[in-house]
Amino acid sequence: MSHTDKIIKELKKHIASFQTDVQTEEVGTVVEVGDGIARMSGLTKCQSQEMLEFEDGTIGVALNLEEETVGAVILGDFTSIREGATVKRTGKILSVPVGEKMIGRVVNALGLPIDGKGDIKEDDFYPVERIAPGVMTRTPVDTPMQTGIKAIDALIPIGRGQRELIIGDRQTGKTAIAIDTILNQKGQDMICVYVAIGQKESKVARTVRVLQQAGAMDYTIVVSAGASEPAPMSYLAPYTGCSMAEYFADKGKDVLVIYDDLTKQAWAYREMSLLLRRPPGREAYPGDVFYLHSRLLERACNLNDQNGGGSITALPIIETQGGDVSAYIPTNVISITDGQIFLETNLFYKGIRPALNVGLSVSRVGGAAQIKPMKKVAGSLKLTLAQFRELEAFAQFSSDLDADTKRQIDLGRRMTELLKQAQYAPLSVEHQVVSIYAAGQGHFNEIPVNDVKAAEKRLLELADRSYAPILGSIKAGEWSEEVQTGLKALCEEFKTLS
Amino acid sequence: MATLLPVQYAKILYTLLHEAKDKEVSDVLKVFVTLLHKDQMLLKIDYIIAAFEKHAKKEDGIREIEITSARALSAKSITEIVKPFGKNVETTVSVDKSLIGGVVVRDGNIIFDASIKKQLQELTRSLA
Repeated sequence: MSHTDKIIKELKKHIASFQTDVQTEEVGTVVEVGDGIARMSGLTKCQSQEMLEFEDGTIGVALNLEEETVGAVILGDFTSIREGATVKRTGKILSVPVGEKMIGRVVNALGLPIDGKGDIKEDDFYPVERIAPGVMTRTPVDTPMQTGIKAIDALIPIGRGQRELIIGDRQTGKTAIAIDTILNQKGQDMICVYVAIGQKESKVARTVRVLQQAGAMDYTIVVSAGASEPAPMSYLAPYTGCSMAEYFADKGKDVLVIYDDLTKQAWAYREMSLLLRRPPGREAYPGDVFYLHSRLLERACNLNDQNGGGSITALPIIETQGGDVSAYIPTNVISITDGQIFLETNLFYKGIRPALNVGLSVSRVGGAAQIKPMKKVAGSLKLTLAQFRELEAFAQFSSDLDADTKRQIDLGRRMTELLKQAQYAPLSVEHQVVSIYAAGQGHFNEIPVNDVKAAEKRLLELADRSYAPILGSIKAGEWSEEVQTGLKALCEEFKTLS
Repeated sequence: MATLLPVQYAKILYTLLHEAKDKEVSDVLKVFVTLLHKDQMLLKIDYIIAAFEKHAKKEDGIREIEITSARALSAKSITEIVKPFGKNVETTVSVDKSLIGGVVVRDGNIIFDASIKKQLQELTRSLA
């Protein structure tokens, strides 16, 4: 028998025994399509949060399971979906790709790349909605997460695993603080996830550019749901970012997630809920808008060593209208988070940047998230600033004031000047300690207020040049006699130079 | 204002007619049409009628089976396909060349897909 015959015979044998696999699918019919939502009949066994596939491959998520219909949001283009079209169940809960290869990329709310650098090979799929880690898996926050911003690291310290809200009106530098924090994580063994929700594409492009130029994209993932994308994408993006962060936290890494901003997510959720005909409540938000944010922010955690020891630090951003923090969404998120950084328009225009309101900003975790030297020098700073605020009103009568009050006002002015910081210029913790120490000890008192910044620069240059070992010890968290005498000597030398 | 769905109107109508005596039927229909008018649902009357037919068949235990195949099927194969679905079956048969081969059977909300097209799609998906 020739070779060909053998093959033919073999082939015939296979054909004779060929059986097709029958794929069983459960389907429904679209009865109504609206802005980004669809209602479908059929789909009797559909689960909540299940992915549905429309005829053109667009994905939907079932949210409302009603007696006759299923209400779903459409993740993608809904213009091609028509009444009467067939919808398939996928049997999968909405999940997104996660993995190491995501780092350095810009992805959309579904985890698909939008930076034109080709496909991303995922390591795993994580469900978008995950239950937050429980009590037994957590440990108190004890490691600092340095933002590189003097005013924050000294007065409102943030720890790894904390949730610190950044709140303020538009154009007060909320995003700037978040970006500076990402830039300062270079070499800190931290992975950053920046979630841009409902932002202008141009702003996202600018942010990505800044991160690239500073080399921060080497440890950052950007998740973007643009302003032109349908509302469900904005609703989903924070959860997607959080799932990506959880992948690394599960591996024992420290992760920082920034949600910029949750106000827009709440808007998107309101839009979806109203279209899905859920009853509106205060400010037309649905009743579960609190749970929308609490279940997201609760996923920030500091895991104990038995659970890998990873952490997720969350920096949610909320935009207020006219400084009104008592609106619905701001009060909700303030109550969920472990403190807030409050930014004010009038401070911003006074030239105090970052425009941090030191009095209203708090961190509930506080000192536990500071290294010892910082704790020591920041204590007096807090007091000085509080006294300065009380006396500030009298500052204009400076000629009639007693010497003591005048001294306090002068010190307060210099401290305020010292806490100003340029954008994209994060400062390492040891440098922060040196400059706050010097100011606290009154070494800037003879310098005119306008020259404080320049003097600080000279001081830090001197420290880098001649006192590197002291800086090293401060960074390691030491506050010994040796370090203190070193700092004293540094200040003396600085004084003789200037 | 969101009113009921056509399916729900159909169900209402079916229950009403089921309980009504022969003489009352025209009265029931009159009231029903008034209700539709009030709810501004007269535009959707075609959908309601279709849904009513479907629902009535379901209540009477008739199953509607849609068979789509790549080539026209012989009467024998159709009876063979329909067999597992029981006796009270209404079949609609259509031809869709894009299936390449095999058949797709739809029973209400469930689709049994044994077409070559589907197999190829599955193959692409598994290779991707």
